[in-house]
Amino acid sequence: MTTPISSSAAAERGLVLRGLFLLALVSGIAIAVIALLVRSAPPQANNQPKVESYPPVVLTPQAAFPAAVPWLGLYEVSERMPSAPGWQTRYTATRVLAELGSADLPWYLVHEMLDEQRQLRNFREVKDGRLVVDEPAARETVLSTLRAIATWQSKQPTGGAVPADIQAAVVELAQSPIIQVKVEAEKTRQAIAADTR
Amino acid sequence: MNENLPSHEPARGLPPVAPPSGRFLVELFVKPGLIVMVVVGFLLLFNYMTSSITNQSSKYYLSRLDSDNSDIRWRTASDLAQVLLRNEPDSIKLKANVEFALELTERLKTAHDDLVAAEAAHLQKIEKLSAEEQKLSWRKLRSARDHVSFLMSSLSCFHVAVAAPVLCDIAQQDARVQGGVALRKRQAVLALAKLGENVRQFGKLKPELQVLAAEQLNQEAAGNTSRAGWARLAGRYLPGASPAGSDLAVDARLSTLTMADDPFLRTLTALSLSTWPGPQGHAALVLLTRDDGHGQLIRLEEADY
Repeated sequence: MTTPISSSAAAERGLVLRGLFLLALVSGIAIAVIALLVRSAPPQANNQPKVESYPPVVLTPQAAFPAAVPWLGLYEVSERMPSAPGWQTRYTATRVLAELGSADLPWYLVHEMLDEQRQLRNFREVKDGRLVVDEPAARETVLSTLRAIATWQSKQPTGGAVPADIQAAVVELAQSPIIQVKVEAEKTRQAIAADTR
Repeated sequence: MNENLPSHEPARGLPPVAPPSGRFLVELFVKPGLIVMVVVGFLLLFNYMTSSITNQSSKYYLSRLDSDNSDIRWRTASDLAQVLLRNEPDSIKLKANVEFALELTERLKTAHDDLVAAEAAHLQKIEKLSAEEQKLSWRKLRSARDHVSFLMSSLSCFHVAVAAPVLCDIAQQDARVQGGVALRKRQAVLALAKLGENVRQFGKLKPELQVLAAEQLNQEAAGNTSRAGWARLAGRYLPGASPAGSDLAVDARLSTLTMADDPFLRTLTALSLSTWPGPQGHAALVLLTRDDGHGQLIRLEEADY
């Protein structure tokens, strides 16, 4: 025969065990969420040297022009600089041409618009004496370009294809540590692959 | 006594079991029911009041927009703005109303012409004032500028392109007068972009609305007035028609803005050309992909609004 005291003690023990089990479960969920957040944290700052340190490398005044200018160094500097003035207009026109499925789409501009680092340089401004980067705007340029490429591809008759260097850039973006960029690039990659089969 | 039979007495610590009383049932069902009925009643009343705004005819809005009382004008403008932004059947019917669009377009043209004349006269009057006084003096024209701005935004919500020629006129206006003109040009180009998008949605309207709008455009297109010209151009943007090749086509007029001195206006022009496709627009876009950022970016100040 079970006494009321021993049955209530057993019920209490059961309650404690259930409570401990739930605590362990919730702790496990919290740890999993924190781990996911830490893994998808933004990438470390670019360790490339600042573009401001390049000009002394470019100038070698010992020889006469054109030998005075190390042209390869100059090319490297241009790859580390923001886009030339008027890029907002050029990018908007390019995106519209892509969305219209135009055959006159300037692919060199599309390539530039997919360059994340270039866009981070474009969206810099001085605020309160500090250089500030508008990362969301820079990322949106890349994302909207990816969408525009997919739209362009969908409007091509059979035979129209995205150039190989653009496809390579899209594949590279599909490995991005930033989830938004990765997902959009993967969608674009699949859209290109589906239409070129 | 059988010690295995269960005891019917409640275990220590639990309340006694009793059937629910009438008061308990009222607290459980009737009170919440009354609260829900009151909330639903408020929602229905609000719906009725807002639909009474939507149900107003175009003549009602036009008569009140022409009122001499500025309070009535601006309250009507506020009501009309709310109606035009909705997707309810009555709102859509209003936005497909060709006659209403033409009436508003006439008012926009008149208001803009008056504003341009007023700005030119004002510019001559303030020549001798200091720079600071000149900036403050432009506030006198704020109401007229707001009126033009409101009409442009309203006409951009319509599904027929009757306002496109007037919006193009505003966009192509010479901007050397003052920063306020630069703002108006930008607003006109943005309004064209939105209008183009809404004109594309014309094919998704109910068939009876499409037929009615086409008939109204045909009736208005007869004649040699500006209004007839607007209706004719709008008719070329109906599904199945083609405005291509005409110098009056919107893409042709927008393409002239590729030479604008304001770089931001050129960016907005590229955006607007996405909703007004055409051969000249396409050529303009290709040209804009080579834009070098030339010109002076006009930064607007408070006096320009």
